[in-house]
Amino acid sequence: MSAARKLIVIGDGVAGALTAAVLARALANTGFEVHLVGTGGEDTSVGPSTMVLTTRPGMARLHRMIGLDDERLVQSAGASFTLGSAWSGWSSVRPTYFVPFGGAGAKLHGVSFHQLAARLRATGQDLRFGDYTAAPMMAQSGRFALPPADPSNPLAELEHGLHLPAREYRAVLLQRATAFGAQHSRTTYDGVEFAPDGSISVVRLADGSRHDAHLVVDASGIERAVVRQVEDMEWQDWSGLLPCNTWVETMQATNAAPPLYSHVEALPTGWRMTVPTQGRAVQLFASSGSADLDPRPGSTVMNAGRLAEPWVGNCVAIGAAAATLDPVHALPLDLVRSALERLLRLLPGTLPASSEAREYNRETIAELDRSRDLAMVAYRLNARSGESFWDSRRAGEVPEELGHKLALYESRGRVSLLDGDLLDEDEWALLFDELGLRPRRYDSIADAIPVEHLQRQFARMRELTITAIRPLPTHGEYLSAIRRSAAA
Amino acid sequence: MIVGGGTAGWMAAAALARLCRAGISVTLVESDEIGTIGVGEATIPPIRTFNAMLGLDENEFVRRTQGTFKLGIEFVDWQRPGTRYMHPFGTFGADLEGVSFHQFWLQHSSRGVIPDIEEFNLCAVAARLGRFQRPAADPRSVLSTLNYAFHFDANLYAAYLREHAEAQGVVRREGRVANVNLNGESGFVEAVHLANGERIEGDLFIDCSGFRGLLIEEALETGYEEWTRWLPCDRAVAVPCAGDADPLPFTRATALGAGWQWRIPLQHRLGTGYVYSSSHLSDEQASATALTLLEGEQLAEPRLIRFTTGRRRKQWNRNVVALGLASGFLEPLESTSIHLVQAGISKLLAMLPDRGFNPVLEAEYNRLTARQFEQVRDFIILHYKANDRRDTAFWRDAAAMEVPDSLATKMALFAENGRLFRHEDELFSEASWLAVFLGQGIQPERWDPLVDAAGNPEEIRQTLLRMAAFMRHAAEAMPTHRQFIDQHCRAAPAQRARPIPMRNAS
Ligand SMILES: Cc1cc2nc3c(=O)[nH]c(=O)nc-3n(C[C@H](O)[C@H](O)[C@H](O)COP(=O)(O)OP(=O)(O)OC[C@H]3O[C@@H](n4cnc5c(N)ncnc54)[C@H](O)[C@@H]3O)c2cc1C
Repeated sequence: MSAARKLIVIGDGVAGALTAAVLARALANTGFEVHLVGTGGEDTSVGPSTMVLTTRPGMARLHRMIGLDDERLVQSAGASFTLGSAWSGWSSVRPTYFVPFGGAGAKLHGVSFHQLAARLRATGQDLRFGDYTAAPMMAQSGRFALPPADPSNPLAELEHGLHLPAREYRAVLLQRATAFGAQHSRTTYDGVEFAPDGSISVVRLADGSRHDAHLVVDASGIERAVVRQVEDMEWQDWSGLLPCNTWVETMQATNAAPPLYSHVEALPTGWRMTVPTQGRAVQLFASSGSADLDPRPGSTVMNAGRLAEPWVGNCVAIGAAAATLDPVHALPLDLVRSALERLLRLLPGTLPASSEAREYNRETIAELDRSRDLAMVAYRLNARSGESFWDSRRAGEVPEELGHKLALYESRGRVSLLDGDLLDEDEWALLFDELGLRPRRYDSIADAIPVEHLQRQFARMRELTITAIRPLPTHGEYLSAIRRSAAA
Repeated sequence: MIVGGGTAGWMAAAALARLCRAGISVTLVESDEIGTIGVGEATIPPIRTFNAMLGLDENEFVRRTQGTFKLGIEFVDWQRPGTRYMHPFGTFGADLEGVSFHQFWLQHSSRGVIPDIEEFNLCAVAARLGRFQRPAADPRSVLSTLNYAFHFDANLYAAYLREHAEAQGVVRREGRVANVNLNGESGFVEAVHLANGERIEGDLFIDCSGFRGLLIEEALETGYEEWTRWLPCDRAVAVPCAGDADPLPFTRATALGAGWQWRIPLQHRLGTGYVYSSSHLSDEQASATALTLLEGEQLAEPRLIRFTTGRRRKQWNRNVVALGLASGFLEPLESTSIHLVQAGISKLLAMLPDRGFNPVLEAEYNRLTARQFEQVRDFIILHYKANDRRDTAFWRDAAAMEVPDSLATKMALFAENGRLFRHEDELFSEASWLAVFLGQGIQPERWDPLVDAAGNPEEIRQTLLRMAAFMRHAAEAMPTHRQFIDQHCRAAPAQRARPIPMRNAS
């Protein structure tokens, strides 16, 4: 009888616990064993946010796979709902604007909302994307319910994510992982040993035990406990592109019902993000410390960057161990989600798995680089003049792909979608628009629809959305109802 | 300003006609002397979006072009003589527990206890039964998994689009372009001169002049990236014949000694031809083979077409955008050429330049187009590379060739455990890749480990068997292709050219 093949996940923070739960669920009864081992440090597995994490809409699928849904996370992890983020102090055209999941408005006759909006603006009408989009309208009203099944309801397509207290979320994930048969080690990680071909042969734990490894996942966060020891794992630094590297988090308790969004506020030398959830609100301060100053007490230092290749031999890095991305768009947990979905598709039965690794790296690198571009956009297009931190963000180099994307949008309102983009066309367009990037010309196909017809449709869309939101419970009432249903 | 009145030219004219309303003048020049290529009669499903965008009524369009419906392509003798498989449009089976259908199928097929994968694709089942119907709108109905395209007479399609374009204000000029004027400073095309001395100016020129690339190549010297090392066929001999009353609802591609033969059923005839490599076969031999293979009365002299597979280095250069054969040519194996015209037109509409010709538009257009050409190229190469025919040098060379990295990775991942990877904007779906991988005999060594965790294999097998039974049942209830045409879009009998007596091939 051949011994079980071991997948060993190093780092038992949120990223590691999620990885173990997903792998254990997928590989039950297949002759694979999943082991989860902590490293003892603080949980930086996802990135600089360690107290509350934000999921984007795509996470629901992965949660479903491990038997979790929104209700359950509201009940057992203290989650609240989110529809996107409010931004203030960044833009030249809008003092405050809202970035919803899923972008703005609806298509009409196959023409994108932003093209239609450009056409209406060309007639002299000023128009805010947010006034015709369900998520910001709902976020303002403070009312919420999960989207109705009826496809004709204007809220049917509403996308949402969750704000999750990290410690509670991790506990739920660990519980799922062990329920699916993952073994959570009581001891901690010590080190790895290599086979002659450079792959990891043995993982050593602090209690002196040794484990033959099939595949090792490094989910230890900025510590990069395993990756540090693997020779071929090089690091690419992004500090020149994304300057924030000093992170301070604070938490306040509150009795108020949590808002349906996070708030990202630009400050003279950085920004502050407030992420509310049940009973508390967490603030993350981002700034750019200089190397020769001691970091502020209580702060974490994390420079932006990524591994040159996140999968080398039989070692895959996930979460902050693979890339540290500025969390201004709350992407870090979504990158873990996407990496796990990819790993599931490419999980090798046998090793070496060079084609799997090559494909994994190709897709992951594209996604990380495009996420970096996205994180740069609000800095690049900021409208704060006279502050050296922000002035210098508007100048300087941008990666070629981002330069092209900005130029093309400015010219024609077209979004150049590239491999690895986590946002779709509508989401990019909204972001550009609110930051004040306006196309010089819109798509001529929008001309095919008469202006009066457009105006009527827009007004109707808004009217229907308001009517659909009005009867909904407040977010606070909705959360209480979910909690009560658990108690009953 | 459009140069060329083949399929590409008139498709562009029909789509750009809407600009006439905005006060932009659209002119098309074509030369009766030169004529069109006249082949290119099989399409893929996105053509329906194009026709719908033009506002064409589908039944009327089929009637006017002697069209028929197409549910896929049958590949005969490709893997090795005696084999056949269908590359159907539409999807295979239904996914279970978030794992792809085909992974479960692989698990059971390794033990030989599951029917052929074709039994799980409604288009394939219906095609084999010679049946056709349009898909149902209700996503819960199995009939919603149907997908289709058309076969049509290329000359009639161009004529039909011409009518449509002219009605909306496109001006057609007859004449041969003899000379092209470039601006001395910018190198932009300023005007074309016709043989009769007329001069036609324009801001944006669309080169639809066929293989030669009158503007993009002869005037602007854009350059051509050859792909003959992967796609060695460089000739075709086309010869139409009489078809039978019951046209098959699919294209057939039959592998021959130095290439392959197409068979495209229309209402009034059967389009056939032999695509071959001139370094493996002489023109005389090719044409003789094409004639022996005719299934009915020969309707025209065999026509020889020469081509070089590859693409223009830029499809958009300065103020010239090339469409159709002028922009590049893969080979017709997967009926993609007309689609590339359509894709080019919709990109152009979205990025229509003004007189400033912002270079970012050109760059984006060329980036997207290059990528699309390469993706289609890889898919076509797969058909050649993965063959077990060792009968001729042509097929041995194809099996031995080194393929592009992008394709090599795809093949390795599938061979390992049936994984399919598709880029988001890729034309061919995972179902298409699956059909061709399996059809060409690439049987994955294992299946996805996630399959084993998904549930009791015997229960899953029973679920799969029910799916297949359900598909067959649904297909048997459909009308025959002929009945469907009779009911909705029967064309008037064509005035045929006088039939040419069959020549003795020997
Ligand atoms: C063997 C074969 C099979 C094919 N099968 C398929 C298929 O099944 N499906 C598919 O989608 N595609 C197929 N194609 C491709 C398809 O035929 C072409 O993409 C399509 O017909 C477009 O051609 P075109 O309009 O670019 O060129 P053409 O039809 O060659 O038209 C060129 C035009 O330019 C004009 N012209 C040229 N020079 C001048 C001049 N000096 N002055 C004025 N006018 C000029 C001509 O008069 C003509 O109108 C096939 C191609 C080949 C070779």
